[in-house]
Order: sequence, then structure tokens, then C-alpha cells
Amino acid sequence: MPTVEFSPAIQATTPDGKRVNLSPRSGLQLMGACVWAIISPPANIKGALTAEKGSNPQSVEGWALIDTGAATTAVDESVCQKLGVAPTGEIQMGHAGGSAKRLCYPIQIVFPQMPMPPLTCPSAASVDLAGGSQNYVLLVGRDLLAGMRLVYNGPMGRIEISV
Amino acid sequence: MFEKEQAYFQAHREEWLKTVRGKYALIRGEECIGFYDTDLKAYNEGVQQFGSPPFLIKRVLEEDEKLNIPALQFGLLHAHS
Repeated sequence: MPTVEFSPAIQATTPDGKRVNLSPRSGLQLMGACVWAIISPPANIKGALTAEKGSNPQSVEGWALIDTGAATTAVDESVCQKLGVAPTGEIQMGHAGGSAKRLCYPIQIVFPQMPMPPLTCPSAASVDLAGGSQNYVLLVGRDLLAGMRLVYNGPMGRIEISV
Repeated sequence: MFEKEQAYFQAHREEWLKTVRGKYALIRGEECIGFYDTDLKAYNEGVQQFGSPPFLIKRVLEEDEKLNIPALQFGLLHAHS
């Protein structure tokens, strides 16, 4: 199993307005366990989407937060709109005030730094991630983590993923 | 979205629980295309049949699945530092 190491390079602003590079340890603490992800429509519907819309479907790139608390992978709603994919399901999702119905969409995920083929999620739940201060595009849940070995190496300021 | 499909699923849930519990149903309109071991197999069959979604993929269980993501449930991702 090849292992890939990720160490987020983060800058912060000091009280006197200077931009400084954080140490890997502080960067990891601030950002959490993140990897860069490219999200696109699954390969087997790209042709149909192109024919339907008259242009190639978009991809969206951004940070994916590895969330061991999430049972399944969830994607930001605005990403699904940009991809132009139609839903494959709906799911009740719990929130602080109760629960709400969310649509699920088919997506393809590529982690460009990881030596693995594209992953197809047939029904990723759409959620509101972009409203947060860190603008994640994806939460990597335990359904994807089931195929990976993950080490959170706090002292070294990195995560290590084997696939 | 999926009003017809959900109503169709609901009308057949009890019957399906006896024979295909835990499998993923692929439904479009008021027609069940089939039952599959994984959601990916259901999805691929849906694409083969219809070209692209929308179609409903839903697991045959006693109750609908509910997604809990604590980071969202408790507003942690939207908290401001």
C-alpha cells in the first residue's frame, strides 16, 4: 500500500497585519485533515451531459475535509449545481433544529496527490459547506475511508494516507 | 423531486422487505428497474438504461436511512473563530 503524506501550507495574519507561514503542526491544527480534490460528473454520464447542455461539464476543485464523524461522503450543494448533474436520491439529514431532506447526486472524485483511480459516488448527499469560514467542497466520510488507512500525525503536522 | 418514485417505493416496501431486504432499488417513475447489491451497480444500470439521472436509487430497509454528520449537525463547520 503506497503512502502519501499531506501537510497543509497555511498562512495567517499577525496582529500587526503581517502574513506569516504557519508551522505544519499549527497549519494542520487550523485546517484539519484536508486533501485537495477535483469533483466532476461521473465519466459515464459526461457524454450525455455534454449532448444535453451543448458544452463540456465543469469540474470543481477545492479542499476536502476528512471527517471520520461522517458516515457517508457529502458534497457542497453549489458544487452539484455547477456540475449540472441531476439527482439520484434524497436523504433525511439531522441538524441542530431537527432534520431536513437533502438531494443526493452522482459525483466523481479525484484526489490528484493520491495514487488511486477516480472514485465514483453514485449518491453523495448535498450539504451546505460553503457557508463556513473554510470553504470546503467535500466531506470525505467513512464510506470512502473504508478503503484507506489514515494516520493523523499531529507532532509532524501531517496526515498520512495509504490506499 | 421523486414524489412518484417515493410513493411507488412506499407502496411496495413491505413486499420487497420479504425478498430483497438490504438491496438497492432502481426506480424511475412508477417502475422498478431492478435490485442491486450496491448503489454503484444500481447507478451504472440506471445510466445504461436512461443515459443519465434523474432516477431514484434507494435501499430496501424498514425505515429510510438518515444521515448524521455531527460537524454539520452541531454547526461546527459554520462556526466563526
